[in-house]
Amino acid sequence: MNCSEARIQLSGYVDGELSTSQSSRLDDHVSTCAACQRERTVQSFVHTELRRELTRFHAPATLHRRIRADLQARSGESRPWWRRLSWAMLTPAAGMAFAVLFCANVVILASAPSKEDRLADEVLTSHVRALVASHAIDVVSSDRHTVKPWYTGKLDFSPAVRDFVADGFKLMGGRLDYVDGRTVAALVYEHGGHVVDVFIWPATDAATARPSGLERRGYNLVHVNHAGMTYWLASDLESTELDRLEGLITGTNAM
Amino acid sequence: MTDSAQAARFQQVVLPHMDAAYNLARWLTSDAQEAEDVTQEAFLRAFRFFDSFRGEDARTWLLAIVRNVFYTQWRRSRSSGASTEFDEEMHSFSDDESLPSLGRADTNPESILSRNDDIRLLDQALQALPVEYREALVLRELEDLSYKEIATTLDIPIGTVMSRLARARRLMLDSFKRLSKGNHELQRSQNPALRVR
Repeated sequence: MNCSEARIQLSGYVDGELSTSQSSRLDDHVSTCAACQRERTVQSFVHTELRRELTRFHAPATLHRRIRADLQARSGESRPWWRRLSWAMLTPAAGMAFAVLFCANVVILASAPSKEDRLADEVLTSHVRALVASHAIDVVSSDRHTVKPWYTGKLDFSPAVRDFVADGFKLMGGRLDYVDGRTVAALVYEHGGHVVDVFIWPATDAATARPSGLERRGYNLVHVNHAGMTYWLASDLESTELDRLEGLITGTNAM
Repeated sequence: MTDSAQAARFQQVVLPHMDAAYNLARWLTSDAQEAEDVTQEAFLRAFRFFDSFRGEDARTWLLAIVRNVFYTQWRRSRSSGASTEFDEEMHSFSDDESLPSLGRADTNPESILSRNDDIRLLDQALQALPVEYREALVLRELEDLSYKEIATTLDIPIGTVMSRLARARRLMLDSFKRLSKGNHELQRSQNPALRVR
């Protein structure tokens, strides 16, 4: 191997994109060439520094609103109003209009649905949608050391990823999802043939430090805040089992 | 697939990658407002062509659209004379030892002073690179794409991804060193106590 071949492959070496035989041939060259050794240090240094320090820009709220309004307009063009509701509810203005309609029709309800209710609906919709659309998992792995790094660079937080296979909850993988106007982590567990989604994102308030469970359309949901994160568990699993997984995640199971 | 199922699937599969799309647009355009416009246009196109999405990686697919919007609509419609000249200047260097000088626009003292910590300087050093190196680094280091995914997004062979990243990282270091030096000299020239007579 000569220096110009080596220079090209140094990036592949740093990025882990070379085969074992390519790497060892490169190692052989670099061990005898001070200039390429120096260049490998440069490649590795820049790689590490950029990952640590470079700014990853996040889409501002105004852009979220603009894009959701676009999608609502486009997807609703050829459909009757009641088919448009699922999209309409995504924008605050239309959501408000919906709440007003809702209250006008059901006079007994004096207020719009609480945030907890709204989130429960969103979480459940995401869970069911993932099952139906066969898009349950982006990264298929039972190894938390594979799943956790997969989220790096895709989220502005790092979710805790653990396997509870000894307790009957097997980690199947994870995916990105979209809840509460932001991108969230969704870990997928399997228990006795049932799929459990665990949605995770940074908590904005500490209101639900104690877990709360609820039942919707035959599915069970559990919401808990733990260590600065909001967790929503969703499954058709019975609620006692879902509570048990919540206990495992927060480490609060009674022995 | 019905319209609503289609919309639901789009929301499920594509919308979660809005940050990735915006981040790429932001680094391509170097401007927050333009990045929003490019991202918005990319989502419109993605939705329009969602029928042609065959379940391959949605993020790579969306990022390729962002790029496409930037290159075909955005860049063409803007006066990009300065950056073209800049690119050619960079391209005339083929040997790693004869390092390029950074363009005039990016050594503007005021822009350096206003972002004078090392992280901002690092951002600025990347911003100073020609766009093809910049986008390769953004996809690799910020979005953590594999070489295969970068090759798909940029529509170039994997071997080119490797050589481009090798060159991009080298240019990045030189750009950073140059900016650090400029910053340091500027501070010294403005502080009489440090001025060398």
